[in-house]
Amino acid sequence: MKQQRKAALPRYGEYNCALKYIVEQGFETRCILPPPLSRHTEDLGARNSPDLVCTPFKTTLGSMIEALEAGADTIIMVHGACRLNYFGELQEQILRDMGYTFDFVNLSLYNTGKKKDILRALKVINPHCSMVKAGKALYEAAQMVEHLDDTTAMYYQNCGFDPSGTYPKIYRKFISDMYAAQSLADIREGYRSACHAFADVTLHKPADPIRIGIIGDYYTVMDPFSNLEIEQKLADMGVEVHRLMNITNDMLRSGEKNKQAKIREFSEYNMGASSTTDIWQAQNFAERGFDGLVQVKSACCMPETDIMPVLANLSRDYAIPVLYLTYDTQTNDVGLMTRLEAFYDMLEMRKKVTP
Amino acid sequence: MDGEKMPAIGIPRAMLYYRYGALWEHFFQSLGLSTVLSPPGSRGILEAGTRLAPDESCLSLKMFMGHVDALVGRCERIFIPRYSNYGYTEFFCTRYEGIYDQARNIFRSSGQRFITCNIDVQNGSPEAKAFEKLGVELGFSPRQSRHAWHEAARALEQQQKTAEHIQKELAGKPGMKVLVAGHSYVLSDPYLGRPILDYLESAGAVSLRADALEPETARKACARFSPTCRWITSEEIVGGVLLWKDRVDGIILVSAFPCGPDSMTNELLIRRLKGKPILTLVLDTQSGMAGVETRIESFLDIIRFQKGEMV
Amino acid sequence: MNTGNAFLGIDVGSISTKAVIIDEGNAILAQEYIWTEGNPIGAVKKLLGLLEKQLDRETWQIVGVGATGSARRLVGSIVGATVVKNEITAHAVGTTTFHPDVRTILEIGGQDSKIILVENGIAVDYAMNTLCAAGTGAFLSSQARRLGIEVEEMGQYALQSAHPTMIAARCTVFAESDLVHKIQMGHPREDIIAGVCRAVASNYINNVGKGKKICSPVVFQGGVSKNIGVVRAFEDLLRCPVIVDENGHLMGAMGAAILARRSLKRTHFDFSVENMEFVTRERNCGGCSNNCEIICVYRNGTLIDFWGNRCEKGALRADKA
Repeated sequence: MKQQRKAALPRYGEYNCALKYIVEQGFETRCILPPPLSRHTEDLGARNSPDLVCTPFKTTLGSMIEALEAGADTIIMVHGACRLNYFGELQEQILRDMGYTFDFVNLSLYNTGKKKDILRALKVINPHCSMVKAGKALYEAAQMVEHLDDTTAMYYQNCGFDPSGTYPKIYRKFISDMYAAQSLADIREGYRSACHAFADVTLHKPADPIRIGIIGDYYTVMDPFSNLEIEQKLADMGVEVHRLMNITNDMLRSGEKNKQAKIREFSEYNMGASSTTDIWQAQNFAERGFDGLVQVKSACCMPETDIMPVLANLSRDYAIPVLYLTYDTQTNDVGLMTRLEAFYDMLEMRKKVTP
Repeated sequence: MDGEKMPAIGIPRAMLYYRYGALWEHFFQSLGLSTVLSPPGSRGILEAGTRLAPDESCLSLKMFMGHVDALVGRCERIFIPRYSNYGYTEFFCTRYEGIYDQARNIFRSSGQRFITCNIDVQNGSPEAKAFEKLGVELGFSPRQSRHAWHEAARALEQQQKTAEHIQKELAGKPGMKVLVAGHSYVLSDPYLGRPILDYLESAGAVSLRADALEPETARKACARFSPTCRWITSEEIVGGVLLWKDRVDGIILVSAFPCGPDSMTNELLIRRLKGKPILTLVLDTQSGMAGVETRIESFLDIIRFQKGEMV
Repeated sequence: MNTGNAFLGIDVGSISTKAVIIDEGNAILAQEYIWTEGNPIGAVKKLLGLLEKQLDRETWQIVGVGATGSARRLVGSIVGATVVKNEITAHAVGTTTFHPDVRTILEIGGQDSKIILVENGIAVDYAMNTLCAAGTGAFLSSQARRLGIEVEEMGQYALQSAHPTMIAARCTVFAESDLVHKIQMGHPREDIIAGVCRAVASNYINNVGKGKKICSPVVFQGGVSKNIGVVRAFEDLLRCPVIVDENGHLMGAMGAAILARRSLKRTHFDFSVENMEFVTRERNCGGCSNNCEIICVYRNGTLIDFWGNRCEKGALRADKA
């Protein structure tokens, strides 16, 4: 039995601050933070993955390799409602074939719908850890995620209208506070100071700014590296960027009730993974008079591809343009900028004609 | 419609039809409903589907939408069941979950009516209940509907038994044997997978199919081999490969571009099965067998070399 | 003595570089079209030299410059553009100016293909090819090479075919294997060429045009619009006439010039950049873990522009470079 386990989870947006918090404060286990995602991560992942798997598989595999290179001896992998459920098993096989020696905690293996699932997984990570501590850390990490999502939403809705350039500094400070947090007090203090700092900035926002709603697959839409910082790019053009898809709205808060019934006209049943949420969000943005929608999805993402005909009908019914973006490891900044700029220009011209 | 009456139910001959079609057809027949099946898969059907389905979706879904298109206006309702899951750890590819609503959206302006049957145990709708509801929706009593479902389930079981029996006979034949593994709707489709099976036969090889096994047995084998593989149809294929692999000379994994579950399970099979020649074929909209024949031919040569039949 | 205001529009694509000079009434005063040949700076300098000869500089003064195309940023900083716009907007603006009633603009260029839907002279929806370059100009060129003919000749060959061969063009790799196979099977060359043209058109409709309501009048632009075989294929598939403007290849540059005219920014452009030395250098910032690649542009040795940095650290690095 190893004395001090060094556990790592692949990078996923900025959520690693909360994951790190759970591992360290809850499981009382050292947490290795893999390097931020980069081209190098993506190359490593793509080189060792099957071709036709979706991009998040490749990116998370690359991040696991980087974590192992950084000294991790245990990889923890989550599960989900689509192919994500099978990521762990195949990734473990690939890493073993590459010659790495490590422990792999595949949460998908413990995902059988029973209440004790999480306890069983926990016992593998650290047999000595206290359930009370773990429970407390989970609760506190959930608070962190809520604050993170709220702050992120606030940031992208407003940062395009801050000529002073203070917004990015506040946001970055907040993120590093979250990574450094050791207690609930730290988390709350970091959030409070970010909120105050945001409130002090004078925004130059027109009465009716261009508003774009972003929807998309669970990984790509929430991970700025994977989506080539689409939210920042749009915000920099002077757009109020809204994204409802985040961990808070999807897992922590009960949120909107009866989404399926509300989108019945377009989709009677859940069309797989986060489809219902996605379609409801698109409809919600449209009903609130947004100027445009952007669908962010990884290449080969099945549920997101399946809802495209739904989005096309929604776009027609509400007369709201939708920009469909597919990301693979070849997608580059230049191509994306061209599409985004053109989309912005179009929305701006439409707005002038039909205020 | 005046004059001749349209058939009540249209069934697209694609996707899960090749897995559960016997169940559906018998269900409607024992209720006394007339059904119409779309014509066999062909280039024309695929082309129609390619025009309709999202460009990035898989070849099988495109084929499916082509079949739906062929039924539009030719029946009262088109039957597109929604297969979601058989429980918490037994589910289907998300594509079958969304296929009913996707078709409704694609064909929204056609005025065609659709009918579904929602198999979703997690949300309280197991197969028996789902078919009962379907029957009631079509104007039959719950009892009649339940009876029809029982009949249909028996018919499906019978069909599976026959298929397994045929396989066993084939496995006993002399000569080179190749196991072809892929979704039933790819392998059985006359335009997609059939030409591969036909070619193998003409090249003198006996082809066995991984998907023709009693499903429970296959899935148990898969669960031991790959515990988190929980797509029912993929489990059946992987299990079939495991149970037949020692009785064949080589394995051909056939996949439709870009099948999500296959992209992962085939990779795992290749990584974990050592010592058996494996060929992977990914089918796309290319017409006929361009390139495919050459690859199979050289694969058969490799097997013959290994067996020492060629020098 | 300068009397009239003129506007320069430059469109630098991956394959060709186009430029026009127009007056206040959008009349073309000068125009030129050359190959980019992987050297956008050289192409622009050469182009400006050619334009300078065409323009009566006694009568016209260029007061606005618009840059568009994939190298718009680079070229914009070199020529001191007053407007830098993406090519989709530039195309929409250019085309709607010359075809005010247009409803659909199809465009297939070297690497990209796009569709723009227009209502009342305003672009209301657009889409661009999502993944691979199959069915674009680059695809046609490589297939022409394979068939041993010039890409410019493809259209004429295609017209001679009565039974176009079916070719899959969804993905370049699949298309190529399909094509080789069809050649080996002995299909007549004109049928194969017509098949390739048809594949480009149907691939476009299935990918870029999916779910878009294509209304007439339809204008077809971009390098591939010069291929009469593809034009005919579109007319067949869309069942409506497809307009190809003889100045279609200039629409991006026209749009850039018009946007420069509409913008309030004014400059005093002379052709002196032709003789200046421009160098671009790519530097890895290394200031933080992003390790951004910063593109720096130097004029006669002095830094005039840079981009690619995600934070202000990059700006400092660029200055020091």
